[in-house]
Amino acid sequence: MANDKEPYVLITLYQSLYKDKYGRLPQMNKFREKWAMKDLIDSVGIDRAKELLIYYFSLPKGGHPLHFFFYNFDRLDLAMREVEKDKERRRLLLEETKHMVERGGIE
Amino acid sequence: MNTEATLISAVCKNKDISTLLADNVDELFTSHRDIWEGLKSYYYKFKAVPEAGILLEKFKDFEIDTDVKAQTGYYLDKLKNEYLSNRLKNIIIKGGSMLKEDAASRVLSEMQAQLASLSKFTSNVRDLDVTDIDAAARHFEAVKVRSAEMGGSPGIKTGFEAIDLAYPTGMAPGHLIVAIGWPGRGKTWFTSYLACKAWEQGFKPMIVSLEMSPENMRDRIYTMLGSGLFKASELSTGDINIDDFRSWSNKKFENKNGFVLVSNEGMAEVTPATIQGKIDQHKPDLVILDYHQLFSDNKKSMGATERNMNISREFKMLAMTNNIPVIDITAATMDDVSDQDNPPMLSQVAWSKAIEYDADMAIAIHKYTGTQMIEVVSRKNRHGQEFGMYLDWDINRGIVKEIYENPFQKNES
Repeated sequence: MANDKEPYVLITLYQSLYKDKYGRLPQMNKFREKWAMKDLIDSVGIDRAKELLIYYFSLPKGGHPLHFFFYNFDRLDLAMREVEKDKERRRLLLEETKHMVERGGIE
Repeated sequence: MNTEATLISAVCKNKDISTLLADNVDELFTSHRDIWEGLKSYYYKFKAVPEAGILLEKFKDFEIDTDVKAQTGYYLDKLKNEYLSNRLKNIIIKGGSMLKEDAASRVLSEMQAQLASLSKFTSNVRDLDVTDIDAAARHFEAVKVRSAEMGGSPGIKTGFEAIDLAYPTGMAPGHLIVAIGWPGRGKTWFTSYLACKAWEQGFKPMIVSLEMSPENMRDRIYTMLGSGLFKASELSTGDINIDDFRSWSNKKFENKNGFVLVSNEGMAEVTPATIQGKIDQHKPDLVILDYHQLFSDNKKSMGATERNMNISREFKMLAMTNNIPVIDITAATMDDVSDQDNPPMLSQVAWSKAIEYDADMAIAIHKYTGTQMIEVVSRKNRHGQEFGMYLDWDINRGIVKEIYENPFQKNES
């Protein structure tokens, strides 16, 4: 269960990411959005929720609306997991390829 | 005697309906379509081919051909030939009358679509008997000779050490290689490089670009073939010494194969049937199609997924029927939950299932923004091992270096 402060930590992070991207603060009702943030934290935990917000702002989604994030955080979570899994796969492939070239062929 | 009646009589006599069921024959029947449908339903219901007399009970006007002597396949070929002749005549007559009222390019396009739909009656499947050891031995001998002639690989080498080791067949005849990437992340540069390497090995590449003008593409080719001699930026502004250029090109292109660039100038629809025409015209050893989303399928399907899946299959057919490797450049499908900061995965291409079925090799290409680093990673390799590497690519000067360490690792840690 999220404590009372954690939803506001996420709201502040959202505002900060938004300001970095668009040069102004988003218009929002913090009191209302904190309940959705609380549900999000209960679903994935505060650390993952932060990662998802940061990931969300790396996407080319116009305006980065908060409600899109609330409605799609599970899809974002899945996509992010896929990307993380693929990063590890590529890291291993790079190592294997290096060894293959050093050996001069497939083993 | 009507050929359709003869064919149905042959099926009833020889009891080999599978010859017809294995082919696309429904369309061939016109006057006897109802009898053919009746024969099929009988077979599906009773799992047996009826005597012709049984059909006669239901279809009173059916004239049984009692002179049937040959195999069913013989009469099927005869019917196909009649059908094709009639359809061809119709298409030509219709094309002729359309020319009176419509632009020649539109008439040609319409005729090509109709002609392409007939190809299913001319393409043949190929059988191979695994127990025929003599045939297998002859095949291996031929592959060995071809490999020896081509420096150890039966296909065209890519020029990248890692890929050539992981893909020992090289870009071999019949292979469909899919290059995927986000828009503007180096797909065309990478595949053009493969074309240059093929050309340098003595092959004749053909790039069909629906995205760039042939002049732009030519600048890129010169940049890569020059390996540092010309800058892409200088070529694009004409800021080069023409005498130096002539002297270089005289040496470089002397006694070499052609290198064909095809463009539609961004206007006309291009289908795999159009590409087939270009292959017949230029006889290339390697074809690069840039890029998938800008082509139309032979049927001119309207739905994006159906069209793209058809194109994928038709490109594979081009590779198979012409016995050449084909590279299909395709953009990954943007959605609202995927970033574009990493090489796309196969699942990020809308018709990834078609690629899984059709492609021999799928490679993701990803240029990192603000750097000259390009990551190249295999997403499917039917003929070898998966691989991954970085290319330190000075695109402006056409100089490429393979790297097997993550150049961003220091920044990440």
